[in-house]
Amino acid sequence: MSTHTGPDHAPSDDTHAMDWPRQERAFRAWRDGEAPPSDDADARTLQQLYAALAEETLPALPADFAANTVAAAERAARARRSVARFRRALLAIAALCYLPAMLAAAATLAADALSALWHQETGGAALSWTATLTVLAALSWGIDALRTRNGERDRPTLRS
Amino acid sequence: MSDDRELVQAVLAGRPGAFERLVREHQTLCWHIVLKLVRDPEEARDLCQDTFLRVHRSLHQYRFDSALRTWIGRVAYSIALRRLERKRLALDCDTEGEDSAYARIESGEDVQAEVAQAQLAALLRAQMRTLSPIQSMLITLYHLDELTIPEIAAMTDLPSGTIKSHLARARARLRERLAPHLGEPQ
Repeated sequence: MSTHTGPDHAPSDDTHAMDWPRQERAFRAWRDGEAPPSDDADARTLQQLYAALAEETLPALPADFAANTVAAAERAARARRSVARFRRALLAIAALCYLPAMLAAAATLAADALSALWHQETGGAALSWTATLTVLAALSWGIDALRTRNGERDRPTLRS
Repeated sequence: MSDDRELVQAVLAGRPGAFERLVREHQTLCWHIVLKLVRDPEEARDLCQDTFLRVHRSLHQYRFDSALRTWIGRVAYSIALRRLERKRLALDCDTEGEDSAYARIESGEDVQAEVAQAQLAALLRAQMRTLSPIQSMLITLYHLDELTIPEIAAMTDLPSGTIKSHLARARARLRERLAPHLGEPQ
């Protein structure tokens, strides 16, 4: 029935420090169905009060409260999903707009820098060497890739 | 706790009827907390629904470190408290003098002979309205909803001593006001 168990600690407010244990004793007696002592009018009154409090009548929620709340929650969830989809679409559009623009800007800057370097005294030679090395590395990688695709084995090691 | 876990997992998995079951199981406690604090039934109904909408939105954050009803009660309490703060209403302010039933008592009518259970209930309701929102809520949670002091403390973040003090004060006041109708001399 009642879930009230546990130690009877006095409240922190000194004014009612003595009241709490007395009230709780009467409450537990009422809860356990014990009649108060015949000479204890206070306990009797308290028990009558507790009986009234346990029967306190309050206005009730409408019968369809749960159903209405569920419907409202579903509407709210759908709205949140729509907002999330809109946000994702907005980010995708922003990315589509800005990414090419950023790539174009980077390419322009690189072209300007390379052009400036080419026209310097030593820049032209450095660029030529860099371009040659890059082409050679790319050729080497490409040949390796072709060999691997055609199933050519690795060169035998000293162990084998 | 295993029932809580099962229910929460069902709601998160989107199983039909799971969230409605959660609402039905906890709507009474939520209603009591919110109604006692804001006192207006229409406003309390809206706030109660707001509570469950927030529960639905945040259920994935629930870590099972307390009972589900404690977690939901905490959400309800914080929502109601925020409404009170917005309206600049004090949580611990009582409402002396607003009770017509009490005025009737003070008019000297001899009501003792007429007191039936229904009348006592009506008088109790009237007297509960003169308590502060926090006292009224605590009385209902403790006596009607049968929550323990630790459960109430977990929901409201109030120290246990403070809760007991509020309860003791509220009970003493109710006892004093209702004593003539409880068949005891004052």
